[in-house]
Amino acid sequence: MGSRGKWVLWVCFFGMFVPILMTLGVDFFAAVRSYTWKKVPCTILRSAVAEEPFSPTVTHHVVKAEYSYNFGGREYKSTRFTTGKHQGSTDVTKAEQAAARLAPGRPSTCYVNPHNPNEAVLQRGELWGVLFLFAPLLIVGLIAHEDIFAWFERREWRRRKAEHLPLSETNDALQTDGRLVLMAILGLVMGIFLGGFCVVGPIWRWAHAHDWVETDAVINRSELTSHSGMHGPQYSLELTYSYQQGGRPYRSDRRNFNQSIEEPVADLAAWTVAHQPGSSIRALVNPRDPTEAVLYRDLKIGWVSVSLSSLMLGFGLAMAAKCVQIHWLRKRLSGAALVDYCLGKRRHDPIRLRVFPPPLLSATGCAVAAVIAGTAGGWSLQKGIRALLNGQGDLINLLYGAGASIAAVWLVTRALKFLEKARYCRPVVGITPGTPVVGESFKLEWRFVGPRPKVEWLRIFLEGFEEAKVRHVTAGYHGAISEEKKERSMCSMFMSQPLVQEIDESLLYGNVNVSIPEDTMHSFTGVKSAVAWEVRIEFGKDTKQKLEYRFPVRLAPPKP
Amino acid sequence: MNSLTLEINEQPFYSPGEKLTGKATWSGDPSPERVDVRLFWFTSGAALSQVGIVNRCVVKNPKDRRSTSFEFTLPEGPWSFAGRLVTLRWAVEVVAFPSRASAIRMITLGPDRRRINPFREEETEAESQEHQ
Repeated sequence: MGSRGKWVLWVCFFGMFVPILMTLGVDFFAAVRSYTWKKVPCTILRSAVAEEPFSPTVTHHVVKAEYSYNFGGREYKSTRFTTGKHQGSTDVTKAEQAAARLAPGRPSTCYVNPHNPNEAVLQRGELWGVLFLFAPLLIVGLIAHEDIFAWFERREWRRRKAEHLPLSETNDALQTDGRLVLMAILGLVMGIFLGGFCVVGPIWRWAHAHDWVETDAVINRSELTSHSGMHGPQYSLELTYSYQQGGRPYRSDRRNFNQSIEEPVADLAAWTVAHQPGSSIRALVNPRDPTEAVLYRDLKIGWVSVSLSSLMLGFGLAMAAKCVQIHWLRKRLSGAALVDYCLGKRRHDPIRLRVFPPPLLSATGCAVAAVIAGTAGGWSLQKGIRALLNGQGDLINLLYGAGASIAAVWLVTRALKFLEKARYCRPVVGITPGTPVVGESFKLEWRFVGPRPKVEWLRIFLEGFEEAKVRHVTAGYHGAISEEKKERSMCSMFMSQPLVQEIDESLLYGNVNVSIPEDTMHSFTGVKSAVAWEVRIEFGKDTKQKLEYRFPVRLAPPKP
Repeated sequence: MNSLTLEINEQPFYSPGEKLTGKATWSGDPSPERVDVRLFWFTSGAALSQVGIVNRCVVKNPKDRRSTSFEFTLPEGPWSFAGRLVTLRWAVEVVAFPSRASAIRMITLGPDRRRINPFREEETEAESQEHQ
């Protein structure tokens, strides 16, 4: 990254950090201060939940309470519920729960500033808000992670050069890559949070709500609001309804147990039209905690939430497994274990190499995945287009619907390709001994299995390749990203020995003895680089058709 | 700071299974607490370098002497290889601890004591120069 890029990055960092520090820092320090205050008994004189506008579109539900307490032999009164500038939140259930806990006449506890006893709160401030202070750090860290890791690598190389580190101690391939650790943490944290909030949480709440009782409720507010987000307009249903339970009024804002990120805007808009403020509705109330209520018991978990959380969790687990594997290899790879790892185990008995998975199975798998992706994508696209026709931009359903539809089309093309292969026979290769030795010969047998067993021409090659896992850095939307890819090009193929080249009508089975020259490189498996061998089979039912299959083979060096 | 030298008794070209013998000497103050002689291969090229220590000889009381002889039997592989994406080389290195001063000698391990060079892009002279 050039100096201009770094300058922009720091301006972005301070541009984000300073406003967040000014907004959250004051509330955070006030909350921290309240943890040094004295806990004293108090009496609640009155408590209620009131609505206060936070912004033109957002309303906060605030606990309005009055309480008296005795401190240092003197009686005091306060109306402050908690520390900080804002006393409430958008969560009406949370406010109702606090108000129910602080019933008038009931003894309770409050926290009093010992240096100024007039200052007291019923609830100490929440400290988790400090996490938002790290948000700019996290965002800048993610954007610039590639530059940060590159800087650490350059520093390590400089240190190595300055200290003249022995070559045998510079095992770069077996060092844990910080990028892998970062991606593993990100994937796991995001997957667990998304899965927990959008999948596990709703199922858990739904499973524990079978005994909730039906009660009459009145809708107080039902409105679809929108605000401009980072990636376009974002819609939310502003809903509150009130109900009576045990002679006391309560309010709730929960429609159902779902927390889907892809709830269609068109459906929400239709719901608000059908349920105007003042209309009555049936609510389901938790008999054990009447502050908890929903309007619908049904559980709808969206496909975007399930697939995104599964993908993130799967990605995080894969990256974590890679880190563990590298650590394990670093501890284990020396001496005989190292020779076994890089040369492989020798097999003297014959081996059979089959096409796995068979093309028909691959075609079926792709077709099933295409149906699932197509159905999900079609559903989301239809909802997104419906919202568009109403003048609303349901970006999540439009984007994910388009993504899933493209994936479905790609899967269909793959399924068709596999199906085309599945219509014809496929080879089974036998190799004796199972691990051919350089400088010796081995027997290669072949036969064709499956439908339409007709082979008019056949070519078999033994090919040797070099492979290297190379990290490539590319410019991404949110900064540079890198990916490690296995490289193997035609220029890295160092040998292609034709074993069979025949045009005949009876090539359905056969065998050939193959001699491997003494100066041929054997198979080698390294952590980041390898020398690999394959048997490539090309064939066709006529000269116009060409089908190709590859089978990996291990060539061992001769025993000394 | 320690000063180390490493000598191999024969030419630095070996076939698998052959014995590699040599002598490592060290000097300087303070005397090293431990001296390691390592037989290893390492990869270089497009991917990150990997080091595989195949055998080692540890001198635990190097203060009592100034040199050690070592002998390694070379394994069946991997062979020295010079490709376009991957290059695999063998070496013997002596390392003194805790200073980590070191001396290294490159060797070739392959059939007929030759490195496998499938693309024939490097001259044999280059291999000899590498050993110097």
